[in-house]
Amino acid sequence: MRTGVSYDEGPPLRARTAAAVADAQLRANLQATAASWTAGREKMRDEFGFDQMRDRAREIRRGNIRQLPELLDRLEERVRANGGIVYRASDRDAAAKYVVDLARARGAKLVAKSKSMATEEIKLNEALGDAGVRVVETDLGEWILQLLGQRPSHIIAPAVHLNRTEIAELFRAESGEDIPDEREALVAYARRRLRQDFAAAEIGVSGVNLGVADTGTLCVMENEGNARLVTALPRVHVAMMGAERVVADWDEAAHILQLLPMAAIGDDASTYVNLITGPRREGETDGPEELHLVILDGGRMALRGTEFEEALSCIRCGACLYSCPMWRTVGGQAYGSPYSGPIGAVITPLLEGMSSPRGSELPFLSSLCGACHDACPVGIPLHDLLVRIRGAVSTPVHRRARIGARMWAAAWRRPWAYRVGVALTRGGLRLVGRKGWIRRLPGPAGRWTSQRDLPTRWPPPR
Amino acid sequence: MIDAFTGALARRRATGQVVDADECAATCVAQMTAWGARRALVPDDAWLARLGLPHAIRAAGIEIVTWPSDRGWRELLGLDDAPPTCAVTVPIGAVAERGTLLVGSSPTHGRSLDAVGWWHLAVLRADLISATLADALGLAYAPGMAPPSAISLVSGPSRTSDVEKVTTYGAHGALEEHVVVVRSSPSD
Repeated sequence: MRTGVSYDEGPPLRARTAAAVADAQLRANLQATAASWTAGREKMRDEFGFDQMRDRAREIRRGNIRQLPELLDRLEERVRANGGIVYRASDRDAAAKYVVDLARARGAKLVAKSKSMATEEIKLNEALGDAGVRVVETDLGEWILQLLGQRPSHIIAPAVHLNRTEIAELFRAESGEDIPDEREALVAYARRRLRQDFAAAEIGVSGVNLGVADTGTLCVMENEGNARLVTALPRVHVAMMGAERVVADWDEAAHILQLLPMAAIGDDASTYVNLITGPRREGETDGPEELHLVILDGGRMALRGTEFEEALSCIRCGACLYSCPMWRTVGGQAYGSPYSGPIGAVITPLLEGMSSPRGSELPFLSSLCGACHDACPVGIPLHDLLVRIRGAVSTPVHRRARIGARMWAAAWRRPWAYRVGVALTRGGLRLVGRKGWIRRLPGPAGRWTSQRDLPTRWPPPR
Repeated sequence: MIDAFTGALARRRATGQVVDADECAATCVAQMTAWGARRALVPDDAWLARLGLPHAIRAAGIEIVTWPSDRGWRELLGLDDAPPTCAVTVPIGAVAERGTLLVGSSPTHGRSLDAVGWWHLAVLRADLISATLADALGLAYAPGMAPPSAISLVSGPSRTSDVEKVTTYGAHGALEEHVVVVRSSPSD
C-alpha cells in the first residue's frame, strides 16, 4: 500500500479532534455551513416532497446493489460499444497504476481534474505527482486547498474553513497580481487562471456520480462548469467510478439525479449534469478522443450479502456530514480519512479493514443519535451500521475492553459478588476522597476526573 | 407547460422570454447587445439560419464564430484578449418542472459550447419542453435511438459557493443564461 503525505501520518485521532474543538473559527464556519444546509433541507421537504422521494430512492439503490454484478457487466458492455475503454480495478493501487501508466504512455505532463472522491480514495494525485505529472484540481475549493497544501473538509464543500481575505492573499502570492478581497474578483481570477490549464491539459480526470447501465452513460454532476471542460477539452478523459455507483435505467437515474442536489445543497437542481455516452464521434470538434472508465472495487464487492451491504447504497451527497453533531463540531479534516462524517465512519473500516488504524477508530466518533439516518436521501441506517461495526472492530485494546466488560457482567449476576464489589468500591472511594469529593484518580479512571469531580457519598456535600 | 418552464427559470437565476419565430432573431440580438457581447459562438444549424439569426447578429456588428470552428481552444476559451463572447445553443429538450435545458452534442454543437463563452443564449423550440426530468431523459434516451455522445443538463448560470459559502456566478461556465422560447409555427 502506497503511503502518501496525507492521511496516514500526523497526530492520533484524539489529538486531532481536541485541536479541532479548540479552533473557534473552524467551529463557527462549520455551524454556519450546517445551518444553511438545514434551512435548504427544510425547504426541500416542505416544497419538493423530499421525504416521499427518499423512499423510492432507497428501493432503487437496494435493487441496484442486489443486481450489481449484472449491472456492471451491462454498463461495461455498453461503454465499450460506445467506443470507451473499461478497466476494472480490484484495489486502490491497481486503479492509480492504470492512470499513471496511461499518463506515461500518452506522454502527459498536465492532468486537469474535477472533484472526485474515488480519486482521493486511491491517492491519485500523489501517484501522478510521483511519476512527474503535474495535477491541477479545477473545482475552486479544491484548487484553493491544493495551493495551500491542505486536505478537503467536506465531500461537497472542501474549503468551508477559509475566508475571502485568506483566499485573496493566497491568490496574490500565487499570481503576483493585485487581486482585491472581493468574491467576484477571486472567482474571476480562478476562472482566467484555470482556463490556461483546461487548454493545455492532455488528460482530464473526473469522478462519476452514476453510471447508467442501459445506455452506458456516465453522469457527472457539478455547479461550476469545470467538470464539463475537464471531460470535453483534453484528448483523453479518465472517469473514476466506485463499483457501487450504477443504476439500471434512465427512470432510476432521473430520480437519483434529482434527489442528489436536494440532499447535498438544498437545491432542486445542480447547474450542470454532464451525461457522457462515449468519446467524440466523427465530425465532432470537442470531446475526448479516448474515454477510459475505471471501475474501482477496492473492497466494495465483498460487502454484498453481508450485514453491511446497505453502505453501498450511498450516493456521496454529504448530507449525513452536515446533520452529524460530531462532524459539526470537529469538521472533516479531523477524521483523517477521505470519507468523513457518519458515512466515513462506516465505510472507512469496511473498505480498509476493522483492525486498520483508521478503521478501528472512526466508528467510535459518533454519538449514535441517528440524525444521519434521517438526513440520508437513500435511507441508509447509518447508526445501526455503526453499532454493528463497533461490535466487529477487533484490536488488542477492544478485545481487552470486551473481556473486562464480560467479567464485570459475570460478577454482577451474582448478588454476593455485586454487594462485595459495591462495598469495596465505596470504601475505596472514601479512602481516596477528601471532604466527600474525589478530584483526581490515577490510571484509566483519571479520564473521568479529568473532566469532572466524583462524589464519594450520596447526596454529595455542597 | 411553457409558463411553467419560464417560471422555473427564475428559480435557476436564469431569464427567459417567449416569442414567435419571426421575432426570434431580433430578440436574441437585443439580448446580446444588452450583455455587451462582441462575439457570438453560433452552431452551424439550419433552423437558426431559417430564423435569420446569423444574419441579424452580423447586422448588429457582432463577430460570428460558427461551430464547428478551426480556432484553437485558447481563443475559444476567451484567453489572449479575445472579445467578450456569447455562446448560442439549440437545446434538444427542456424540463418545465426544474427549468433545465438538455443541450446535446453533435458536429454543430460542441460538448463545451455553452460553457466556453461568458454568456449562454439558448434558442429553444417550445414543443421540446417536457414536464419532468424523467420524461425528458426518457425521450432523449428512447430505446432504439442513438443518443448524442454527450448531453449537458444545464440549469442556470455557472456558480460556486466555495468562497465564504456565498453563491457567486460565472465560475467556469456562463455568467448568465437567457432562454428564448420560440412558439411553434406551421411554417416550421
